[in-house]
Amino acid sequence: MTHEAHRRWLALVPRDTVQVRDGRSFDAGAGGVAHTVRPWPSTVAGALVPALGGEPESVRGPVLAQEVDGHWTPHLPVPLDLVRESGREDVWRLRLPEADPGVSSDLAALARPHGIPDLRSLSAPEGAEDTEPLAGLVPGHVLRSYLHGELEDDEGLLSVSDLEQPEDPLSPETRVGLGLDPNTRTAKTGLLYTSTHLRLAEDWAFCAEVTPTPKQHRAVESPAGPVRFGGLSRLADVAPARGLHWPDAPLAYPEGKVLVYVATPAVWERGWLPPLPPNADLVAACVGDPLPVATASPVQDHQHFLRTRTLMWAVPPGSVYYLKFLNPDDAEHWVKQSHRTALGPAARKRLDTAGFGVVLTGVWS
Amino acid sequence: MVLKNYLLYLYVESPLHAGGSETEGSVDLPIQREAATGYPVVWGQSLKGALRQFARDAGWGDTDKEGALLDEVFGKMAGGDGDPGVNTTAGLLSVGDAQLLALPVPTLRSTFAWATSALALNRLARKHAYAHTGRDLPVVPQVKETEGVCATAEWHDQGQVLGPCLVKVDHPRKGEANRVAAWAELISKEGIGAEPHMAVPAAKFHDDLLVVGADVMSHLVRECTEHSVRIQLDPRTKTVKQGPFTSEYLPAETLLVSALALREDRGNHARHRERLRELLHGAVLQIGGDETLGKGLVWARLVEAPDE
Repeated sequence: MTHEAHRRWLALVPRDTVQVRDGRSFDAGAGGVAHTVRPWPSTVAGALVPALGGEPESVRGPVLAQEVDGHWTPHLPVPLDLVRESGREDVWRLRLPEADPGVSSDLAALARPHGIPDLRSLSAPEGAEDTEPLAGLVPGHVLRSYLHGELEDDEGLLSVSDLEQPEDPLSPETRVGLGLDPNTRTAKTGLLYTSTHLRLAEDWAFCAEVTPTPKQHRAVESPAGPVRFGGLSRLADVAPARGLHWPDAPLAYPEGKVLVYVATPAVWERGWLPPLPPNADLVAACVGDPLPVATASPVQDHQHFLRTRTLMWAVPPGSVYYLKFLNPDDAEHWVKQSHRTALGPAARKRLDTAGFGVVLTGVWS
Repeated sequence: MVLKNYLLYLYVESPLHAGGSETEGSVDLPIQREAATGYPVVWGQSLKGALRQFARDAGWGDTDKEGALLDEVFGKMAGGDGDPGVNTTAGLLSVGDAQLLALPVPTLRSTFAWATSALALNRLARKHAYAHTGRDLPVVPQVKETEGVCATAEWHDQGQVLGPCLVKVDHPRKGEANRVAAWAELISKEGIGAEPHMAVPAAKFHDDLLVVGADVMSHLVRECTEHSVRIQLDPRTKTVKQGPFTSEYLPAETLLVSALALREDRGNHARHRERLRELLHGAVLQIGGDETLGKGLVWARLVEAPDE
């Protein structure tokens, strides 16, 4: 039984900095550097558990969101099929070119074993030169325009200012740690290390959409806080983020063309390839470099930590897939089920309910 | 997770050097600063280490029972008997960064004034909010980027010298709410206290708190710290053996504030709370480096949230 009607957005606001280790082993003193990453979906989902008094049915996120005058704006990674011309303001949306018998690649041959008969590569429209991928975030309303096919003109062209990209709200702070001998009050040999912390800008929060269990309907309205978030027992406050929502999906999908945008890191059974509906073909994809994702539950004893730690490759957020359904009605039906949900099954149990692999849907042409 | 929240005010008694991570320009040993704002800060892990050491010096580790209390509240020391590479215990006490609240800056009247900003006051307000102290807080004054507002009319001037800056400082008109004075009252009461030995700074803080704009504050936090050039002599030849090297310090009279949270432990919460208060409220701690040079002494005051 699902409890979708009780879904709520919660905001995690770190009191100071956030430190989330990237999974590499770390030995202080041996040039010890603790590498830090942005909080994974599992980091956020794990942090919310004590605030809700137990594991919720599912968590979808995290999404970085900014609150201005009580109004929340989600910000999501820029879609990877948008590229910028070097040194210019022009941004182009990659296109699926007409099949050109003069150009050949082994892309289709590589994809065929995965059951994809005709995978084609995207290319920059004519007139675009020396393009490079964009990075960073775009606000929710800009992503909505992109999903609805309204962001670029007929040529696939837009300006970088149309994206309304904010400054990165997470700034790194390098910190040195040192262990002192309490008797001599001098530094202990082998206990000097460096780690990076991330400081979230004022008015920003890590947000996630939570579907509670029946017992959590009240807890999700007024979550208990603060909670420990990331390393070093750092605290974050939890509060409802009212008015926050995912960008909505288009209502119609001409020719059955559906774009799948990956909103949170995705860990799927077939690596880069999402679980596809049987009545749709994957026509093209724009996938970023794989992310190494480390998860663990270090709160309990060391044995529990060892049992729960995993290292996986994830599809980075911002990646897009171009699907084509034979029947537009099938496309609409699939979108209704899939938009702003975790596309499953995930490669491991409970990863999809922890927020990995949330997708949004749109159109492509 | 049941928590007891506290605000920990730190009033700097002697210049404080909480060492940062990288050399900056001509400063060999800079202090810790926030990356985005440039505000001086004492990192949570540095502060927690200093608090743990202070507890140990206060006798928390002298007996088996007390040693257990030290580890329960502050966590076991790294390199203890635990597994390699994993924190053996986190401890029940979470210690946040000690953020800058008010910085003493040299002036041409009254020797110095304390400079703060809307950002610093807003952070204090947020700490009060999430610690559920129930305090009735003044509104944070809005100040133009290059100007300031003052608590008392003496500072009202078109060109007030604050450190390296010439700043127009306003004072509320008759009948307008004096928000700076209200903040000065609150911070003086909570962070400096009313004990006889703190009477002079408490009274001065009432009169000499200025809230300056973001541009002014960003200059002051860079220019109004202390730099000390040091050398090491060869004891035989009396010539320089090492150095010179430059250390940076947060000046005396700086005010910092940190948020602490003590997690509940089965059956021991009341005892932990009582011991923590005994330990910290009104105490003089040592934080940061150069302890044997007399640096890093701070007066600590705890503000406790009422029981809910």
